[in-house]
Amino acid sequence: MITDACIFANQDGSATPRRMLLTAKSCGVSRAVVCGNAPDIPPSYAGVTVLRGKVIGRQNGRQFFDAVRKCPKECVVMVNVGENSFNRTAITTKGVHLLTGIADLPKGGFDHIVAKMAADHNTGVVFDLSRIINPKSRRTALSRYAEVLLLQRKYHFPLVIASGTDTIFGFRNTTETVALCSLFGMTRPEIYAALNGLDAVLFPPQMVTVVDKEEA
Amino acid sequence: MRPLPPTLREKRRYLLVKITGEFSAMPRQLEIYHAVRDAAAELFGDVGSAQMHIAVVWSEGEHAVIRCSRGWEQQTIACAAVITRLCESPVMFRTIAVSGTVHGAKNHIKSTTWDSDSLPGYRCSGKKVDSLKGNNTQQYLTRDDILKE
Repeated sequence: MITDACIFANQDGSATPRRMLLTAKSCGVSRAVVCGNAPDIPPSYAGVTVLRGKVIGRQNGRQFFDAVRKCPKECVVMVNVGENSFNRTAITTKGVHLLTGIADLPKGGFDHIVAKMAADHNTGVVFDLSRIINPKSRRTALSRYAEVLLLQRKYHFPLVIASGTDTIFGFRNTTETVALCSLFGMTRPEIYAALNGLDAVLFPPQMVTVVDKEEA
Repeated sequence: MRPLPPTLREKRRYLLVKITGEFSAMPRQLEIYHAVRDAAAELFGDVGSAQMHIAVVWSEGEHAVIRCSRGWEQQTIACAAVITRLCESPVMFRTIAVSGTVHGAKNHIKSTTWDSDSLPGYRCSGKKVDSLKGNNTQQYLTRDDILKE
């Protein structure tokens, strides 16, 4: 299921949330995580399944935990990455699904220890395409994404791809996503795995449990 | 002098793109070429963009055909994907198909029939939608948004 891990649909934006979902559908997206102020989005529209998302910014310890706790259970919780210690806290916090804002990562913010922790706690990392499309953040984004990709190849934490758009012009179809992600060295199988990667975060594979056979 | 035989010619690929934007009139072929060329120069530098041999060979309405050297299709798609402004307006270049001939690329153009099933979305160019919950800023909406009102 091709998933767009983060779109910002606002009731006051240039396009209605339904119109954004329609455009997402035309790009081949079948599931989208919608963040922002859009209270009346149906759970499914134009063939696109809608998941609600919430982005939590960099906050102090207690405020951060409160913000995570207040998120509804069915919400996909994303945390903007920051300093190394904050990222470790975010990954180990129960209820956090994804780390976002990798393009703004400070130097050394995502090292091999954070990568290993992300893999252990099944926390995904979001590659935001809007940061590649925007010429001001493109160079930083490409270098950061390449660094994170190297760690992902070693530690195998989940990767997801998001358009991160708030207009209908920010959506990209799968062909364009493959072209954009190949700019920082991602291969086609990796890109398709990342496009389908949200399931691995939301529904992690469980250990096989042996059930005792009932004796007759 | 005899023309160059096909086996010695440079192999090329043709990309069909659909251009969506907020234009009053559709951009000319030269303007599309300048946008793609600038994006290629930004992404791959002068050397890369020179090797790509980019050209816009045809444009009509909201479709255009971009030519590039064979093996540079991915990079050309990426160049088209990063274009966000054309003629001072927001724009989106959607790559529809890649083909070995211009004719083959044009075959992928689908004619739009203007009925309610194929076009469930609206664009209100005047930035005024008086009936939508008093919010008059939304330009793009669906038929369902209006019916819901």
